[in-house]
Amino acid sequence: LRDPLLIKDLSYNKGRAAPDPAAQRLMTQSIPSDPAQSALSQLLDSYRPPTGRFDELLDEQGQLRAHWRPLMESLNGLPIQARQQAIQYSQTMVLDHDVTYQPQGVDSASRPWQFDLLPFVMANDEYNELSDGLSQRTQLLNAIVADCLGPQELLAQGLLPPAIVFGNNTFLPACHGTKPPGGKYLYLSGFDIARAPNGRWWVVRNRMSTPAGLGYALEARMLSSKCLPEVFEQSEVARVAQFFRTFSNSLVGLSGNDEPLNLILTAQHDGRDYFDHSFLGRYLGHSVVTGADLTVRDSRVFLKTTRGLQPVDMLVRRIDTGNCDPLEMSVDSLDGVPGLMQAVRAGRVAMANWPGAEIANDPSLNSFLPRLCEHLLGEELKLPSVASWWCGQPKEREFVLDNLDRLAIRRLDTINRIARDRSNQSNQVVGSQLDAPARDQLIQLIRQFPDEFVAQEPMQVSVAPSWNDQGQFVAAETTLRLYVTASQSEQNYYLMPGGLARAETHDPQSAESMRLPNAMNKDIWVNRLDDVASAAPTMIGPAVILRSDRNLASRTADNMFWLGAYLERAENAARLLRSLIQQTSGEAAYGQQVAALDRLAAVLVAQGQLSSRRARRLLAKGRQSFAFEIASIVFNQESADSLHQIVGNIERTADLVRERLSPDMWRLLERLAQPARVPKHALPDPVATLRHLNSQIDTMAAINGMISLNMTRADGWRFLSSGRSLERLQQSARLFNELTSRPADIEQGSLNLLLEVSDCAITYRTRYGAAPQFVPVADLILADDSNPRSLLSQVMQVRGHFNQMPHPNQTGIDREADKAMLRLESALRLLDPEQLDARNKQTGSRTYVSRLCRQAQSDKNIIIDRLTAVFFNHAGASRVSGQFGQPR
Amino acid sequence: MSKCRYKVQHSTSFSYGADVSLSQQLMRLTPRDTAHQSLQASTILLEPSADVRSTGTDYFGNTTTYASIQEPHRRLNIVASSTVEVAPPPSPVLTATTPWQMLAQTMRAPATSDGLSAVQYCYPSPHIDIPPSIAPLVEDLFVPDRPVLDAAMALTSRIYENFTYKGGVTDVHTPVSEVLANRQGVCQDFAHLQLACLRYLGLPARYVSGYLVTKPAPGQPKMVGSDESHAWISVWTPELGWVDFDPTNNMMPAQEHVVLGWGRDYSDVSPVNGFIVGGSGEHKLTVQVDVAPIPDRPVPA
Repeated sequence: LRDPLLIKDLSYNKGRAAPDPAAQRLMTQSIPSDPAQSALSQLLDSYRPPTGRFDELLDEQGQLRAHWRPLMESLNGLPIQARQQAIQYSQTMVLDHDVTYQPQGVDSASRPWQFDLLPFVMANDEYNELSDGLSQRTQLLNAIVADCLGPQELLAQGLLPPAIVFGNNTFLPACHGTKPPGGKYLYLSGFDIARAPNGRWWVVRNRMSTPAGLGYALEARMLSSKCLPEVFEQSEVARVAQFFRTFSNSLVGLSGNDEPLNLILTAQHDGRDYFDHSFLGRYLGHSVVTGADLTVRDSRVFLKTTRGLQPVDMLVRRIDTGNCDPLEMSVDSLDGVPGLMQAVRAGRVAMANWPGAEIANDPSLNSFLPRLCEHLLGEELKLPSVASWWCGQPKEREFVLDNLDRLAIRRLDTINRIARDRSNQSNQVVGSQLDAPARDQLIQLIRQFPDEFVAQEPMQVSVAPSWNDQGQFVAAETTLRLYVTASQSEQNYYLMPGGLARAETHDPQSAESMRLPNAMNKDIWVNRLDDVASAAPTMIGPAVILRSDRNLASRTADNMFWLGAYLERAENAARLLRSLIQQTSGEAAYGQQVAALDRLAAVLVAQGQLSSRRARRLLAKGRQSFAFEIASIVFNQESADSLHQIVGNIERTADLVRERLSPDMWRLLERLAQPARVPKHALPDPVATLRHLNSQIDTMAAINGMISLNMTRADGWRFLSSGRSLERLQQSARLFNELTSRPADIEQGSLNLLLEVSDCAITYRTRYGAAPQFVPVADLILADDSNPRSLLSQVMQVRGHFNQMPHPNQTGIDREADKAMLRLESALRLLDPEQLDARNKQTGSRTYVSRLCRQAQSDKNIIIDRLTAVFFNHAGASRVSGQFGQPR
Repeated sequence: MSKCRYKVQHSTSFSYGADVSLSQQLMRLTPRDTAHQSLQASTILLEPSADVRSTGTDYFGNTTTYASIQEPHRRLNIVASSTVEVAPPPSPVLTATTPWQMLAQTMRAPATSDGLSAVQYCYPSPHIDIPPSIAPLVEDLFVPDRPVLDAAMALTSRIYENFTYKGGVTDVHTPVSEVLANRQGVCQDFAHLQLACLRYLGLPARYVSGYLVTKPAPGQPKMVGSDESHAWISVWTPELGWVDFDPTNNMMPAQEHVVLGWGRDYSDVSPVNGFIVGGSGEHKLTVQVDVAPIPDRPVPA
């Protein structure tokens, strides 16, 4: 039977090994004549799998494997341009979503994630087989963890060498004797698997600690389904949602609480893995917190929220066990929560995975698994590990030393790690790649510290098609990261029908790429068949747990508040600079008087955008050079308090509350933070400056629109909005004072500027139709509650938010803050603009204006102080209570 | 020799520049019973008193006291007082112990329950790093077939003779490799170093935390490490169980060493470990240890 889709290109072996006879036979048989066939053949023109490896796409006869057929047929209908467009689209989305990763190494900066749109296809029966094998493996590892943290019978029976347990960096005495509800230590496990040339899957690594990459796997699925929508539909891909539902439900069951507070515990925000965690958090509806957000009282874990301390039921643990509790473990970081193990031991908090589960990662366990499986589960190990030799055993050690040149030698994560080299560098070497001295040194170390080494058979992993940047099919070495979650039924584990494939292509031309393979991440598609659906356990409860602000972490509230403030500060600065440019360059609008230069300079100095010395120098030079100075303020990236700096603050603060911001909002913030493009070799001119400021103001308007229209009116929004209003209050009061309180000069120019910066020029013109006068301008900007930018509106807004904020139960609404708001509101409501206009006879200043603006400033400070005291600061960070003296 | 009774008082006091709103302390301040030491009374007083307090036993069998003080405070005093009775330990014949390499071999897969409970002390631990450069310190002492405790005593003397006792040059986090390179430190460093040597060879050896009698018996010199917490080591053999060595004083502890607890190293038995929230500003810590003999009560007539 001839396959109509027979398409293997047989010219690939030119200059390499001779094509295998089977393929040669086929070459003569299958010369496609049908245009559809020849299109497919063309499609794979550049796909040249090397010999000696399993080919995921084509079988030994060069025929397309059945499970790839739907994808390939569907892609065949897609013109090359459409394919390139889809790839382009996926790359843009990676940038838009700001999907980054941080390569291993201490100081490396985060980079955009490398994504290959072409998915890896897994056959349905293969999925079932892997599901069986990995479930069994999880069950086995769970039993091993249970024994190490419990009776340690495996040691007594000689089934597990003590060195593997006690020499392991992840064996922590503090976890010994703790027991999770239901005996499940592993709720979420990751496995790296690869296929050997004989077609069998091997497990390369167990990843039980904090299985990273689940967020990326979700992102990969989102990209592949969005960028190839028709192909996705036609390929009938099994959905991954069920997996996350199962995981979520198992967590609900874990805490035994109907409305549990489940959180994702991560390390301090340092960029690494943050995308991963926040994406997962958003998807599961769990807030992402750090150790500093939590505290332990009465042997319970609490989240420090704006409503006080809220008891926590369950933590999805994404930090290493060793960093969980500085009170009981020797730690270098403060990522954890002092007292956490007390709560764990008291059974007051559940954790997934259970502290201490990492011991199952150890590659030295591999060679013991077949025996342990038979002993613990009474069955044969279904899915083998990659062949491993742990040097802690004399026979194995000698074998490794005899075969050093062909084996991959790995340093284990022991406590010693040959006297504490915790770097990931040279974690794995192949003997043949070492020069003679390095080889001798390695042999010496293996002999001195045999427990710390394991050797593995280097694998010729299978190849699967990938797309290069031109959208051509190329053969790439592919390994899979698969995930298994516990399901609610007693023994069952459930394999995610998806995951992350990692494809490595080597460009033989480039020595660099031989050393550092070009690795891409890709989605895994499992063909949807009925039995996949039935393999999924039945679920109870809602599909997605909704997040409510019931538990807004204090730190998050604090950051939301300042995000609002910085956004307002940036907008104000941009508007002011824009108005100043318009006032100092070109011809002012007809009949419009411009403000005095010294007044403009004073405003900039007050805002911290210009030093007073520089201001004096500029004033001497005149209007034109002023315009250029503003351009340099806008584009200067160094000067503190410049627009650029404020935007930097926005970026940093937004990063800390990322899981609370919608993707659209995030994209706008990214746009705002993009550096201004300054034409090379040219001083920024007023026109370019104006263009840049306009675009910044547009972006901020879009952000503001999104805040006003799209954000849920929950506590997070209230804090953000209050931050914005209080900042606006401060900026407006300062500007008003600066431009109107001084002795009279070109008053109209100042008033024009004031109206423009306050975005009230149109309102004023439609109402009064005349050149601005102090009294109506003051009324509009200070006391008009129909003007959303007026001072009065800000106070009313903050007061409204404040009353609805989640006040800690014990204290109720803070009286001091309430008094300050009331005081300021009445002062503005009872404002007499005529009186405000009165000038001091001697100095010519408007004293009432200065007095009012000073009051606004001081009341604003009181309000912020009280907000901080009530909502943000009620629980500080933990620290060592004093290092106990060294025994001498 | 007859039994000695001691009154041990170990006070720790913290004072802070501002209110501490939450203080959690994990204490290992209750002396253990051993083959020749028995605990007769023990109390731990906290001031202010704890809102949550619980005692437990850690993985190594030490008594732990966890306390959480949840009311604002600026001072915290922890006073642990105990009465212990120390009997003279048997004097083992060091040369009659197992050849060291046989013991190391047995410990790879111990068959007895005693061996199993000692095996966890054969490996590096959080404060015991074993650098490759440690080999010369042990190689010529641990020659094939030398009885393990005989070699261990020789190692104790070697550390005493070749390393300088000097306070202030190390802290609780100083790794063994640094002590090895600088050849100086205090009792904790010497204990860690000796443990590293023994475990490099695969021998079971643990860290002992405790005290020395403050005032020596008349005619005896005052020992290094009195008035403060002291540390030494213990080696396990199938014949004798655990036998102690004190590298700081080049001796085998007898009746002037009071055992508090043991673990793989300092990090397992740190007497007071605490975390606080608040308490910014000036921060003071004082520790006082007193181990005084209790005169024998007159026998009632």
